[in-house]
Amino acid sequence: MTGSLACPACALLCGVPAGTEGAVLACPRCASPLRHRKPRSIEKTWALLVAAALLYVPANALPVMTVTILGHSKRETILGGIVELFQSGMWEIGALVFVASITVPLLKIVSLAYLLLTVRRRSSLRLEERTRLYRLVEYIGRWSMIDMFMLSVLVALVQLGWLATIEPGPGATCFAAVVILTMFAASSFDPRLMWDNRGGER
Amino acid sequence: MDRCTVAPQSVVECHDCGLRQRHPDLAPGQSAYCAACGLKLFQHKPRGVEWALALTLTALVLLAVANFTEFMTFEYRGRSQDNRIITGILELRRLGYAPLAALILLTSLLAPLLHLSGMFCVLTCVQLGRSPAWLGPLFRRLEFLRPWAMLEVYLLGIFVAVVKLGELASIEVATAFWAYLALIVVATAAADVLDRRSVWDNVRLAGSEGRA
Repeated sequence: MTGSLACPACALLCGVPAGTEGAVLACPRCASPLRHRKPRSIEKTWALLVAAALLYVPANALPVMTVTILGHSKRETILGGIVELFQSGMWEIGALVFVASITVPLLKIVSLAYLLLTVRRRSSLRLEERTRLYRLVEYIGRWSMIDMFMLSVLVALVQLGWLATIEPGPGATCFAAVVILTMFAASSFDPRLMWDNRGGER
Repeated sequence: MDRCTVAPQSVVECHDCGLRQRHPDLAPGQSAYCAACGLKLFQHKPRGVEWALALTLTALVLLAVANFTEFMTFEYRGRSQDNRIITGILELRRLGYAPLAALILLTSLLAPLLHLSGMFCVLTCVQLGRSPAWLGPLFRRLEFLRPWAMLEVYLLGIFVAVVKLGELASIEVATAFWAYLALIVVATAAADVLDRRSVWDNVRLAGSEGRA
């Protein structure tokens, strides 16, 4: 039993007075609740992750936008947009969007599931590498928003009546939901749970 | 919630792996890393608060310019359309995509605005040596808000959009685009020069002298 807790927000080391076991204490510096580990971390992360994985399907299958030029409408999925970039010779941009929109969300979902499973198996192997993987997942999440920002710029610029219009599609909402859910999933996972299993080996 | 006492601060706990370790004394520019997982625990950055305050104020001005002036002009077969950052958000809402519009409003405008103005308050307090009761809770919430401010991601999104439209029509970038570019550089620098620990060290603890 520890006699002190570190504040998760400001890192202040707070002493836990005797007789307050079970109560949630507040950090005297930033008022954050003090907890030994993030509460219900595993359950929350799984729930958010499953929701994200389910939405990943319509996010990729449904069109994210409809482009209408001189009366001709064309629906475009995320992958379709990338293929088009490749076909018009802009493979650098195509590769960038592919990594940000297809690879990153998938990598996040798979990596977090892997980390959750290693916690469940009480694995004490490759702790440093797994922590580094977690930090990568936490960092790269925001870059998936590239496609959504691109869409908002396209929708704003191309509103030229019968000449040309770009409208969003239902895939966009699903995709945005995947980005948000995986960001929350990453922040609800507590990497210290992995390190807690280190003691069992000794 | 009950208050707790303050333990000796010669020991730090790693945020990522929970290892408790001795707090080293750092020379200016030196960094301390966790002995177990390699996380950068902190870096001693002298005069970080002054620099961060100046850069934050600059960023706020640039944010205003980026949002209130024209961003770019799109021309197609003689017809042209001017555009501000907010136009995309309003269009998405008009077309029935309110949740998406709200997310983009949050990440490209609201979060950066709240974060920068909040940081301005916090850094001003630290610079003046004041520590009102709301300083700690405010700084904590600003840290929570930080990942949702996605200025640099937004810039890449604009870049991809411009490349995609480049074949179709001509696009001219205007004042706001350059302001936005400068804003990202300045805001990144503001976050980089600041040693967060030096802010926390200036926040008075609840229950210490001056407050009941």
